[in-house]
Amino acid sequence: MECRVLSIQSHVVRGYVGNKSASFPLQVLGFEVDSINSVQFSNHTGYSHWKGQVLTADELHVLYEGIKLNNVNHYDYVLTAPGDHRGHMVIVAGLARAPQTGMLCSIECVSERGVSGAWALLYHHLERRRKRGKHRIGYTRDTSFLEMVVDIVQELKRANPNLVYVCDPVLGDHGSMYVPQNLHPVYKNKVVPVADIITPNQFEAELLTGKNISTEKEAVEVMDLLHKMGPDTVVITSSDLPPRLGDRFLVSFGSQRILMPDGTRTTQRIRIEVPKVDAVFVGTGDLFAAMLLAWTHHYPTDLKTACEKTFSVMHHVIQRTISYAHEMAGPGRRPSPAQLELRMVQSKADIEDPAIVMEATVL
Amino acid sequence: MDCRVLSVQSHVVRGYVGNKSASFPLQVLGFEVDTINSVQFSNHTGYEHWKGQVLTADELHVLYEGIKLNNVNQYDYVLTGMIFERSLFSKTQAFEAVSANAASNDARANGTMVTQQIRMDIPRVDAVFVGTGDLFAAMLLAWTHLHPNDLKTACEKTASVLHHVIKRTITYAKEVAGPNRKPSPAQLELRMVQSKADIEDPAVVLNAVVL
Repeated sequence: MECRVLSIQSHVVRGYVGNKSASFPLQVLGFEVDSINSVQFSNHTGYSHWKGQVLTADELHVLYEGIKLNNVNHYDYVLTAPGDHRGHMVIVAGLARAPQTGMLCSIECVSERGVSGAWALLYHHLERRRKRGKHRIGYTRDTSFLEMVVDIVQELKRANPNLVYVCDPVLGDHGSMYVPQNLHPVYKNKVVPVADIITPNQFEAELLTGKNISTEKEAVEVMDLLHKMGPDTVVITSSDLPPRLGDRFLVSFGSQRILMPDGTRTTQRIRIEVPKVDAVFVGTGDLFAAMLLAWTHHYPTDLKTACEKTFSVMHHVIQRTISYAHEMAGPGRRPSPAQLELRMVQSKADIEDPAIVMEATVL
Repeated sequence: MDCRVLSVQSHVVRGYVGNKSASFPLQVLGFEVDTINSVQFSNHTGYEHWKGQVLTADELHVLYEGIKLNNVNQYDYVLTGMIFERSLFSKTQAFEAVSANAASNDARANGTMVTQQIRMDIPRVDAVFVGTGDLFAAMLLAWTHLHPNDLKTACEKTASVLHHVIKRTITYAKEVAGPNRKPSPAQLELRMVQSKADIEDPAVVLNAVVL
């Protein structure tokens, strides 16, 4: 298999988020992964402390230019979680007061309930403090990094019209936005239209389409609206809809528009119920997008199987992680962010060949 | 195995040198690899063009500080490679530090120290590879960890992995370049992900002689 992915995500020295979460599993599955690190941080922002540096839009462009000048800017996939960078860039402008160097101060950051994504935790925390008047945070209106990513994707698509852009549109969760309002239109009008596969949660799907999801029928309608915006494959990674298997589960949906040989379009829709876990994980969204890339690559017209494999891998990695974390923390104690880092290298066999442990229903 | 490596090396967007060359094989062997990228370049400097950014000593220190403040600065190994002076247009190497701290206990039970010495003859390959030194250091770390009192086996495995990866790479490069054409640097990038099985369990094809 000769398949090359360009992944533009964050890098952490320790732990598994962004490129650290996406690279190893894709490489283990035989994909060539070129990675542009949008930031380099010591660890994700769920820890008590985090420190590091950010890449500017110019620096991103310079790296891409190097690839282009060597005529090696040919990719089969691009993988990003753009909200990741944007949320981060906002924080830089607010905290560091030295946007040129990108140097950041260490801050106390308490883990929040139910949110996912490294930047989400920090942003949510800062938002709460700002609303209580404890911080003056200036939000930059600069959307240049995100727009640079879109420019790169468009150029790569001109070089390879079959390129698939997999985008995790990190905007928020459970009613809270992680990123500033001014990025929302960039997402809606520029990023999603060039994406081919997107992995929003319920909140993000609702935000992008302006339509609420309170029934399965509405979930299908929202996915159809998202198809109209661009992507042929949409997976709503989690929702608040009542699971049939009981409250230890959560409900996810998928929808894929396929062009038939006779020129007509057909849409395959699935529903899948996934066991809930009582812990806050970071990096799982990034792993999900990477594995969905891999399994839709192997099953391009069978979303049911692609989703069963992807959700199953997630389940195995999370189970292994939670067992280890509880063991490390000891009885009756809540595991720390360090202990909850995904057991990625230990899950190699599950990544290579995931035992399917949940069944998707075709709608 | 719960073994944590801190690797401070370069990062290239495309290709296999520095941390790109060291991480995947170590992870495949079950090591936890924390990586500080001392630079981020588009590709290695053997290509016609290369562009990117360099980390300063202060920035490196800041990253380490973050690890330390969280009390997670506990490592079993440190791995470093070449460190460049801060200048995109100068290829001056400030200093070269190639060290793989492999705590190889050569102490016998009765307290005496023994030195193992071996010699290996390694087949030459008619090409310039980049990243092989970094892969070698990483794999030597791994195999001396797994065979701490047996330098012969550690070296045989390490050299054998390199042999398999290089052979796969040169075969591919020649195929892609076409007959009688010299492969380009892009074509000569190590076939790392394709060599996973050899990395996990290298067939020993080179023998070390104990001196």
